[in-house]
Amino acid sequence: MVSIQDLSFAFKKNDPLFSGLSLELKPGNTYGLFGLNGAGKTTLLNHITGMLFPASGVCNVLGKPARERRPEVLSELFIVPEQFELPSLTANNYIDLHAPFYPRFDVGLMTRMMNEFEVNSDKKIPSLSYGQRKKFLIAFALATQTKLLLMDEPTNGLDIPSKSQFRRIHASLDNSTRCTVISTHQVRDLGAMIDHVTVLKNGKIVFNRNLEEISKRLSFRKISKGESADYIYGEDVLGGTFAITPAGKNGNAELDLELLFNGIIQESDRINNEFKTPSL
Amino acid sequence: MKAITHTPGFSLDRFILLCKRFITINQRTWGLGFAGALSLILAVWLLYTIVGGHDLVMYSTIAGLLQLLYILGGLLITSSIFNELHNAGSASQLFTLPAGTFEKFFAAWFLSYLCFTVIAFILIVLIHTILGLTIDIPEIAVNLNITDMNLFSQILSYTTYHSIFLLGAVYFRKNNFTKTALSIILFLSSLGIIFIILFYTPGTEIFRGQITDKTIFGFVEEFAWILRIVISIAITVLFLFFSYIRLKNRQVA
Repeated sequence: MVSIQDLSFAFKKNDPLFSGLSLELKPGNTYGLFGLNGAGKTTLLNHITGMLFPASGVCNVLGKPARERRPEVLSELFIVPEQFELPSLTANNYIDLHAPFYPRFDVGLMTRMMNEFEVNSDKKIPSLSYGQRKKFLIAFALATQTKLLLMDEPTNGLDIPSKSQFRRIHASLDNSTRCTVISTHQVRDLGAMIDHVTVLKNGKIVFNRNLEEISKRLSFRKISKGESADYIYGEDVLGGTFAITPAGKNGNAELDLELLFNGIIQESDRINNEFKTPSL
Repeated sequence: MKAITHTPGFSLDRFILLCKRFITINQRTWGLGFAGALSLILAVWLLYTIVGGHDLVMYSTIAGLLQLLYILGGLLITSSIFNELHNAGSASQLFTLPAGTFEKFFAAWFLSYLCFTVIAFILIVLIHTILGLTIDIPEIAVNLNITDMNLFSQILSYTTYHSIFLLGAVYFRKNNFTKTALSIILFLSSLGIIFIILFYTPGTEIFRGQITDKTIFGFVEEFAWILRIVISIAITVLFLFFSYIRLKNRQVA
């Protein structure tokens, strides 16, 4: 679906943001794209959509270079940016003008989501609140049924019930042929939606594994004070250390995304090493 | 709602949808612009009617104003046609809209040049007809006739300037109209200064003599129109090409 090889890019000369970044995204998966502020998550999404061009390397979407912005490729991708401005149209007008560009646009699904999100389709989009606008764009994005869906901080600005609605709607859709990339800081909001953890650090993808693989290799558990245990990465909590340890019989299968992300940022080599050894 | 079947190459369906999108998004601004221009014409007409000015003066004023509004209005529309691209928040809307860069470019050209000129012409002829019915246009005004060759000259100017302003619309991120206008002024001024320097440089007397030579000047004058058309078209094609390439290589702000 998306193939990025040796991608290099810099906003300023001699200050590369990406250097030799490689990533493969496959259909049927939902990727959680994580990284510290300024790591380049939005920039990476902009490369995939063809809005930015690599200085060197390849960024292909559906087998074609993203920078060519071919209509047949664009009709199979949709991006929900973090910051966005929609034209001064009513939601219904927006749908009438933009939906025909997407061959599998589902009007029924759009109506259902608009009702669930309680977005007034007769009001002009700029007059809606930020959260309402975001819900409208998410609904439109899901209704396009494109093969590639990119969402940059989709839950920013959504109230708590809307976040649950979004997760529920996304889970109810047939995503077997769709590749979804969710870039977020809100690991707790979207952890249940993803099946891949992809971490961007120092201009490279330092971690890209599916949850099943992670659960087989790593454990997330609290080590009590006084208990002697080796761990890969740990954070002090009340009464002990919450730690990532190699998977074993004492392991806790429940993955803690926040701990995993912090662990990858601090100890990416040690965590990746756990995936190099043959599984138990 | 009929969805498009996407095929590589130019698609008329996508082009029509793009035009519809440009019109719907800009209809309010464009409508206000046209209403403002018509109000200005009406105000001039009312002023002359109330004050009781000479019909010929009124006719020539309105004719001049129409030509000015045609060029100025068209260039303002052209300058703002790609505004969506220059805002980080709205750029993705047009960049990722499933249509080819050429289709997007062609739709912008089609609306801001062809459609605008046709609509402006219809309005000009309409106003001319109304003026003809309400005032007695003297014989002398034939030379000022707003539907004659003088207008062809205006269209030719608009054709060239439009292509330059289209490049400005893609190239500059803010104040596209002002920046393009200033660039043109700067370019023409530089050209003028170079010409003056060359003209008064010692040793160019022969060249100076040829320029003022009546035979050569007369020769140029005979072909002045053809030369102007050829140069205008060449500049237009060049700038349209630059605009397209710039749009194709444009990245998010």
